[in-house]
Amino acid sequence: MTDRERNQADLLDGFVRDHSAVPTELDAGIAAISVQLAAELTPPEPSARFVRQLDQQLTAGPAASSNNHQAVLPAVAGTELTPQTALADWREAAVGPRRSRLSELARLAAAVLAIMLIGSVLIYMFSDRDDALAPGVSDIPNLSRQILVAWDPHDGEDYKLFIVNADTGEIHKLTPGPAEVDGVSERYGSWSPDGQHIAFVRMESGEAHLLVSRAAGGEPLDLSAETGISDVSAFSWSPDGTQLAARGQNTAGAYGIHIINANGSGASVLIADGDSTANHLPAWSPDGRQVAFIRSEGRSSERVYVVDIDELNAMPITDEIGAATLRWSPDSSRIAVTAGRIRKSVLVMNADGSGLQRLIHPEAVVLSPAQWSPDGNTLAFAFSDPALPGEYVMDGTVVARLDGLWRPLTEIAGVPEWSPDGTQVTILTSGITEQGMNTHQSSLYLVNQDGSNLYPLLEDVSLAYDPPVWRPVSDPIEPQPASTPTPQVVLTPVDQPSPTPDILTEPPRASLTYADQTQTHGAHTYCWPESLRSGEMRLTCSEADRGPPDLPAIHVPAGASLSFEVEGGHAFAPLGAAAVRLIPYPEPSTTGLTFDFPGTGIPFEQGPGGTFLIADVPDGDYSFEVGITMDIHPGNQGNANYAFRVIVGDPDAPPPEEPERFQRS
Amino acid sequence: MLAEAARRDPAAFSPLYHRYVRQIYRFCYVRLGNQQAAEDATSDIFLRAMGSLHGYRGGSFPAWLFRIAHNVVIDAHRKSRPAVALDQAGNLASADPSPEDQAVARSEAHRLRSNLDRLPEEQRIVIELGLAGWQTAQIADALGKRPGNVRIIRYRAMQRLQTLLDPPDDVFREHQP
Repeated sequence: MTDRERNQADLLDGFVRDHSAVPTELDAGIAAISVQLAAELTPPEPSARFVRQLDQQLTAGPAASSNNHQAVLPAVAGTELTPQTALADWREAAVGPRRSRLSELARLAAAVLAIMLIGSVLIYMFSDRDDALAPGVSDIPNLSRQILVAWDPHDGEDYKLFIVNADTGEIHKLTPGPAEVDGVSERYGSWSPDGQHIAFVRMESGEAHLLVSRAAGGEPLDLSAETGISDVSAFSWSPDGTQLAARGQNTAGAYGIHIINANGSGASVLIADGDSTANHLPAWSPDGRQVAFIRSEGRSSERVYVVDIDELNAMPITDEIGAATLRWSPDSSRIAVTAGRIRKSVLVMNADGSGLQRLIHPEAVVLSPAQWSPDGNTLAFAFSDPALPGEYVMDGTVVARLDGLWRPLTEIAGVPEWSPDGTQVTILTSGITEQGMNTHQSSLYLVNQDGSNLYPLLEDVSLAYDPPVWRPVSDPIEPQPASTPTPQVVLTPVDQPSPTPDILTEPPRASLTYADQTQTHGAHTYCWPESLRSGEMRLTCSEADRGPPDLPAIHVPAGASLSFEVEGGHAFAPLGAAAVRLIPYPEPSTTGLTFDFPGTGIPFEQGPGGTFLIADVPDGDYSFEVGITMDIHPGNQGNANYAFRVIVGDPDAPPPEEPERFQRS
Repeated sequence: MLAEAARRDPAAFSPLYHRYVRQIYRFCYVRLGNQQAAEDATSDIFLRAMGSLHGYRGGSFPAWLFRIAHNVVIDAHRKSRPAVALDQAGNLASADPSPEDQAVARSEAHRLRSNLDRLPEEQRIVIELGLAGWQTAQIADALGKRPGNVRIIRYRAMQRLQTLLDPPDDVFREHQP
C-alpha cells in the first residue's frame, strides 16, 4: 500500500469512526473521492506572466484583438440558459418529465439487464405505478405524521432536533433553549415505540451523551449522566420502550453494547468489545427477543451478529461481508443488510442467517440503508446503477419486493423512510461543497409511495445526514406537565379540514424568480400563492400577471389578529413596500381589504424581510394577494427569493408546545 | 455594472478580465490538462468575449463568459487529445514526494481524469467548475440552474465516480450457519 493509499484509508476509517450513524458509508465514499479529486486534479493558478501578457493584449483594444471572433453560444448540454429554464428544471425534477425520463431509462436498463440475467434468480422488470407493490393504506388517522430531523437553522453543523409536521410543514424545536448554541449538537433522534419520548445523542465538548426527552418538549433526562454509559454513538429502543441498547463506554472504560433503562435507573453490558473487535449499530428486534449488531474486526470485516436477550448467546449470522447497516423486518423474521467491501448491495436473510438473497444486481451500488415498509413486504433504498457504462447512469430511490421485483420511487437518491401507514416516504438528500465535502446542505422530500406528489418539506438547509424518523404511532402526544403558553392559532386552509388535511395534489413551485433583464429599480411586483399549506405558502411573482383567480383561502376566527411575514431577499434587492389584500372567500368578486405597508424601513443588513401586523380583520375566510416592492439598486440584477407567511394570532408568541390538532383530537 | 460599462466602452474590459481570468484559466486547465493548452484557450476565450461584447444583452456576465469558455474548450478538446497534467498534478499530499509517489500520483490523476470523462457532460462540468474554484452559486448561474440542483448534480457525479473508481467486489456468498 502506498502512502497515498494509506492516507486515504486512514481518512476513510476516521470518517466512519467519527460518524458511526447509519448512512455514513455514503459520506465516507464521497469524502474519499473528493479528497482524491482535490489532491490530483486541482488546477494551478495562471502564471503572472501569462495574466500580464493577455491583459496587455486585451488592453491594446479590439482592433488588435481577434475581432473576428464571434462567440458561438449554443446552449450548454442542450439547455437554454435562462432563469425560466432553471424553474422548469426544478419543476421537472419535482414532478413531470424527469420522472418520465427515469422511467424510460429504468425500462431500458431493466430490459438489458433482464436479457443478461435471464435464467438467473433475480429478474429485473418494472411494473406500472398502480401495481400490486403498493403497501396497504392504513385506516388509522394521520396523527402520527411528525418527522424528527436534526437541523441547524443557522447553516452550521451545530444541529438541534426539530419536529416537522409532514402535512403543514410546521417545525418545532424539541429541546428548550436557543437553536444557535455553538459547540453543542443533537443528533440521531429516535422516537420511543409509543411515540411519547425521543432519545438522542447530545455532543458537547468532545462528549456524546444519550438523552431522553418527552416528545412534547421540556428538559431531557441525561441517561449517560445517570447510568455512566458515555460516548454513545448508536442506540435502539426496546419494543416496550423501557430500555435502550446503546453502543458506548461504561464507567470502567470498557466499550460495547449496553442495555440502559430508559428512566435512567441502571445499565448493564450486553456485548463487550474484545481486544480486536468492536460491536456497533445495535438494533432491537420488534418482538423484543433479540438484538442484532455489526461486529468489526478490522476494515471491511464487518459481519452481522444476533444475540438473544435472555441467553446472551451472540451468534454470527453472516460472513465478513462488510456489513454497514441492518434493519429488522416488522415481524422480526428477517433482517435487511447493506453490505459489500467496496460497493454496497442489499441482502435479505432470515433472522438466523439462512435464506440469504441479494435484492439488487451486483453492479448496482446501494446508497442508503434498506428500509422496510410497515407491512414488511417491500424495502426502499437509494442506489446508483451503471446500467450501460458510459451512456446512462440510472439512479434514484426504488421500492423492491422480496422476490426481486422492483420499481422506481423517485429519481432523487437519498435516505428513504416510510411513513407509519406506508402511504408516503421521506427522502433525505445530502449536499457537498465545491470540493465535494459534505456540508449537510440537504433537502427533505416527501413523496407518495407510488412516486406521485413529490415535494420538498425542507430544501437546501443544514440538515444532519441522519435518517429523519417518523413518529411511529397515531396516539396523541401527551402534553407537557408544566404550564404551557396559550397555543398560537395555526392557519388552516378552509378546504383542507383539520386535523387530517389532504396531501397537496400539486407540489409547491419554486419561490419567486425574476427575469434578470426585466426587473427595474423600484418596480412593483405582484405575487400570488401557488399552493397553500397551513401557515406557509410560496408565491410566484410577476410584474404583469396577477395570478390565477382560484386562490386558496385562510380562516380568520373572530377576534384574532393577523400578521404578514416576509422572509428572504437579496442584498441588492431589500424589501421596500409591502401590501396584502384580503379577499373574502369564496367570493373573489368582492373588492376585499387592502393593507399597505409603504415603507418597511428594514435594511437588508438587519435581516431580510419583516413582520407586519394586520389589525381589525373581520372573521371569515379569505384568499389573498401580496404585493411587494423591492428596492433594486440601479444597475444590479439577479434573483431574489422571498417566502411569505400569514399568521393568525400573535407572531411574537412562542411557538406552541404541541400542534393544535392534538388538542382537538 | 462592469459588463455594462465594458459593452459601452471596450476599454473598460480590463476589470472584468482580472475578475474572471483565474477562474476561466483553471476551468480550462481542468478540462484540457496542461498549462499550454489552458493558456491558449484562456486567451481565445477572452479575445472572443471582448470581440462579442456587442452581442452581450445583459444578464449574468459569468454565465455568458462560461458559455464562450465551454465552446472554446470543446473546440480545443477536439483538436488535440487531452494530456494528463504531469507537470503539476498530484503533489499536494506531500511537500517532497518521492519519484515513486510522483509516478503513483500521475497514474492516479490519469485514472481520475479518464473517469471524469465518462461522466455525463452536465455532471462532469459541475465537478470541473468546482475544481476550478467556482462557487456553487456561480456554477448554478453559469448553467442556468438553482444551487440546489447543482448540489444534487454534484452529488450524483460523485456517486457515479465512486462507482467507476471502485472495482466490483465479489464478497457476496451465501452463508450457511
